[in-house]
Amino acid sequence: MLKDITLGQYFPGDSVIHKMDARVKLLLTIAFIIMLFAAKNMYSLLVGVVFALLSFAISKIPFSMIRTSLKPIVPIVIFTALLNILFVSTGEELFSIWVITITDEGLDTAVYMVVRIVCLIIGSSLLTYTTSPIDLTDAIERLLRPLKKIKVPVHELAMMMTIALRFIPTLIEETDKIMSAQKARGSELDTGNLKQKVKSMLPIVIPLFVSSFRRAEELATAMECRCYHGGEGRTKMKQLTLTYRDLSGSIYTAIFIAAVVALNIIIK
Amino acid sequence: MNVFLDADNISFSYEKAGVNDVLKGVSLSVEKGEFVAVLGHNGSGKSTLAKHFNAINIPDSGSVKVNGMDTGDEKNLLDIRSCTGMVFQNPDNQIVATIVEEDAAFALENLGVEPKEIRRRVDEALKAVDMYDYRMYAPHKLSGGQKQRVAIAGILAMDPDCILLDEPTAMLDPRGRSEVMSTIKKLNKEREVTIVLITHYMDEAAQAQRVVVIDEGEIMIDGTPKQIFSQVETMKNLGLDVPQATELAWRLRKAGFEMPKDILTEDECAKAISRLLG
Amino acid sequence: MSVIQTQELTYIYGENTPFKKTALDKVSIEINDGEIVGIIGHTGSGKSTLIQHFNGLLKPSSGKVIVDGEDFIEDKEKLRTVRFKVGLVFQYPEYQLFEETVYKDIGYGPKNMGLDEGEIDRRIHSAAKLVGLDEALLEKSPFELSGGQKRRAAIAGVMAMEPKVLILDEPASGLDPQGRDRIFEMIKSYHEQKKNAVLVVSHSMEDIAKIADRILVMNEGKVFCFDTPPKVFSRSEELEQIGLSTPQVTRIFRKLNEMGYNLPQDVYTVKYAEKVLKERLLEKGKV
Repeated sequence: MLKDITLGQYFPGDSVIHKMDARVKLLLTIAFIIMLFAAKNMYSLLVGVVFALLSFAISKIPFSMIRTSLKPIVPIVIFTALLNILFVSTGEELFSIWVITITDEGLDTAVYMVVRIVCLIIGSSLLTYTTSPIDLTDAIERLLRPLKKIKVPVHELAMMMTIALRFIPTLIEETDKIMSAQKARGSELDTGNLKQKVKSMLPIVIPLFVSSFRRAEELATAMECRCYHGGEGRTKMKQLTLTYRDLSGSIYTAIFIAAVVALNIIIK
Repeated sequence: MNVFLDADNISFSYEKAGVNDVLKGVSLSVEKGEFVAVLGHNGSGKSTLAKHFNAINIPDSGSVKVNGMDTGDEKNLLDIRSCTGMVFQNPDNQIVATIVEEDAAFALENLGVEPKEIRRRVDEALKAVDMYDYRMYAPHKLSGGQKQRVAIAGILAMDPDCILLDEPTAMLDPRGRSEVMSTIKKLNKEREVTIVLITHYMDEAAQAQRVVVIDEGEIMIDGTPKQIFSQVETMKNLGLDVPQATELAWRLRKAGFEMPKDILTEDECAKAISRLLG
Repeated sequence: MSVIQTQELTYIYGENTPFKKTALDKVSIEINDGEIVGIIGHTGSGKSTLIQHFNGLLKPSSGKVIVDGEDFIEDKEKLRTVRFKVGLVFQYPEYQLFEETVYKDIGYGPKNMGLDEGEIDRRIHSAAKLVGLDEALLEKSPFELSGGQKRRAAIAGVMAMEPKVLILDEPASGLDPQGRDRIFEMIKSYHEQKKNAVLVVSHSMEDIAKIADRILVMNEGKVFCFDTPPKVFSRSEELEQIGLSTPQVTRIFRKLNEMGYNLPQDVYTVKYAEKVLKERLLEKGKV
């Protein structure tokens, strides 16, 4: 059933990483991604891998979640690997069959790419696992605040994200209900050709649209009633404040970055 | 006495003034600390009236004053809305945030209150509606009655003098209904919050101090629950009900037995019947 | 003759997950052809899960559901015919309206059944009549109707499938007293004309008491009791203990009995209460 899909993959906890400022976490994640792509050799890349796994361990999120988060990207990983193996033709030839030539450099790049993508996913899912969606939205809003000067509606975008996150579970439940109701009227949702399939979706999509409009209208009124008048003069209950945790987290990341750079320079 | 909400001869149409008027010259004043229930069938204009007290609707003619402030004046908007909160029927469509306590903080954040003060008032509001233990929950994990109490907390955090509730129990099960009703009564009693409760449920209206019945955009009856429900025939003609205790007493009286006219509760009814049975 | 029968029906939500919950626990009931059954229970008692088994929307974790003598769960073809035999009207059914006109929307079910144009047309008109929807409304968009009309149009959409069993989940929720009465009158007249079994799920004992031949009370996934209204309401105290509200007259009579008047325990409607009291008072010569 649709209801079983887990969304907003946040795992509440009280690890150091959970308690860190969302802005810092977001920036450190970006730094980590840069670190991954800056790593030029096996050793420096290994530092990145260690960093990802170590951070995961500190967060106390079960390691089995790594597998869960990697599952959807397996095809992309395989595709990237094959692309590199098959089409990188520089370097020493290992063997060749018909028109396919596999070189050591190709194999190398493939491994690098795979490791990078996997680490990237681990890193960014660690961010979403340890940060509530609302904190993350908040962090994005604050980090992007300077963009307000060039008329980017930062607050509105953040508000949109919050509302979307809030209503995803509600609308999933609603879709489920409407589907059951139409099935009870004998609709067959997954038979026939594409045209028939699209047509059979109408009894679900139309009521969902109608109800979403109604919800939007009611929510807008309710927000107005609670004195919502845009981002002007708004405060936040939860102040994002930097603590020693954020400092130590940054130092920890900085040291790993330094290690990557050092290894890049020393081992050519 | 201290008049808090005051509608003076207001008319309102969703189309054009004078065309299909939903309210036709309604005058109603509610005093500070009162608990008023508004009854009327669907389309009678009761929700439209409530929305006037929150400056969502502005009358075409006549005037509405909330705590002395004219709703027609744009400048008063935030002041009006922060002293009279509004709770709606569908609990899902009024919760904005993804975490209970964040939602309770929404109004105060909009008003630009100091973060520390927000924290204090949010905690207090959540405790007042008995939802403090659920402050870190995602709203969709809560029952209907719980969601509705979160919505009330979101209003309560503004520390309003008055709360307008537009059929807050219509979508709830009996358990949720009684949770919400006891919360409302508690706020009225302990914090002296003025309550305007729009409802279809006669047993809820019977718990108010005063009941106003609206039909076709006009106020038909206005009085204490006992005065209102003793008019069984009038109520039925307006498409409304009376509590079963009242109806039973009325039927017995019609059959020629001696029953008091103002029976409202089970106890009163049982006592009266027991007197009859001797 | 039984039209729906369950044998040790068990349903477990989220099996093999930490959120595992037994929604139905060995439910064995029999619903007879032509009767009106009220189903009562608080949220989470399993009543909604139960009715979704009757037309195959949910599959039992164990046990059996037999509709019209057939065990249909494993047979895809039969499953489809069961959908049409057991018409299920969900709560707030107006939210499932989607067609351009009320006429087409009511005809959606019959069309899915593969009926011919003439038959579909006949059924649409007959269903509209059953729910008391004016002919003039049929050509309107369902979104132009009033709340109560939308509800009735949606119910007509299921009635038009002419099911052997009609199930309605909270058909009156959110309506005003007049709207409630109208819906229950409509169900009654549908039953009088069609003589088919009708199942009504509701929170309101007072509404159920007005129409049901038998009442099924669900509690925590189990059958709490399944009996005639007088028998069920005579256990009003137990019903309150499992979180259900009983009609006010029932409680008034309980109070009177506690005071020592030997009155019947099974009073659950105002009319019945009036009758009982009148008789008693006449006996005593107190007119």
